[in-house]
Amino acid sequence: MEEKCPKCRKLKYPQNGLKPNAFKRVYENGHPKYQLQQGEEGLSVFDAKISDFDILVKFRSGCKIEMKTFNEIQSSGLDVVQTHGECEHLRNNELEDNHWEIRPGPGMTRSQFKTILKTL
Amino acid sequence: MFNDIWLHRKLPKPPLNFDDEFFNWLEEVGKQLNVMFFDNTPLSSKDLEELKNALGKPHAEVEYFYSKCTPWGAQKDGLETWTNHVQLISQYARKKLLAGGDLASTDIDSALAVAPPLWPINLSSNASVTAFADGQGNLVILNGNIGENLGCPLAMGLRNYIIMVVIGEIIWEGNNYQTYDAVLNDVMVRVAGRWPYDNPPSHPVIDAWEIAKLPDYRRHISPMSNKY
Repeated sequence: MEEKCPKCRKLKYPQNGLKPNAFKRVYENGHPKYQLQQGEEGLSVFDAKISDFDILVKFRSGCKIEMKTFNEIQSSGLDVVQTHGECEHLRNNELEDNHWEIRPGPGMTRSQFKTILKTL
Repeated sequence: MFNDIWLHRKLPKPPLNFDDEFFNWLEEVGKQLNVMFFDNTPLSSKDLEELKNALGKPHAEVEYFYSKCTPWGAQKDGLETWTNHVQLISQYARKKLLAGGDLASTDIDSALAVAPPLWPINLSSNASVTAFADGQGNLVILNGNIGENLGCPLAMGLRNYIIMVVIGEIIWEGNNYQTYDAVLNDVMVRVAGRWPYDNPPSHPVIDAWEIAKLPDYRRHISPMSNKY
């Protein structure tokens, strides 16, 4: 069953089957580009149709962007899901609307997920 | 208590004090576990000043934490997001307390108005964490995600909380937990938080979490009825 927002009952992760061809990941110098943060079940990325400027303007200076195609991500055994709809945090801006997460593939342990992320 | 875990994962044991050495340890285990536990950039002086203006003087542990980490990572408008988030926490807790059925809305509003302020510790999509200082000077760490686990007590003090997070990551690697909430409910993770069974700290947000857990028939005789 799909998870719903307890507040507005909208789908937490609505999936319409259409996925962008490419995604952009924000990272900082001195840090791995694809590294999970504490408690994160997936890795934040944005639909690549959003301009670098529109993404970076929301992050502190020094942040950079790396792009990966959906095929590159999928061929590593990972999935990408849309997270737009998490209404508690939704601020109705373009960035939120185009936020996705790289998630582990079916049956993958967190340890395997982290190992594969390092190879992206 | 967790010696076997550190030994098994070949990780150094955490230093006893919440100081620079502890944060060096955190950075080292973060590298080895391949996880960024906290954004290791000090909170900007502008954001810190705004927080102090809004909430007062932070607990010493929180202030030290802010000298090491930014709760919202690299997000530029993190403080604004947190401010909105705290309003949601308050609204959600109010709704849960009201649903309990034995507190008047004016009592709930009064309780929330005088409750110790909630300080940001971590702001993310599913691992938001907040802290408050209780009347005895303890720093109390709570789940800050909007949802059924909002207000769930996590740990006493930031050192215990951070160790809890690291233990959680190690356990998550070896278990097939599907969500972070499931990780936080692991017995070893709960133990790491050192939440006291006797005389636990109190806050309306904790009460809201406790009330929400009660089955409907128990809500009207909940221990919260005489509290405010």
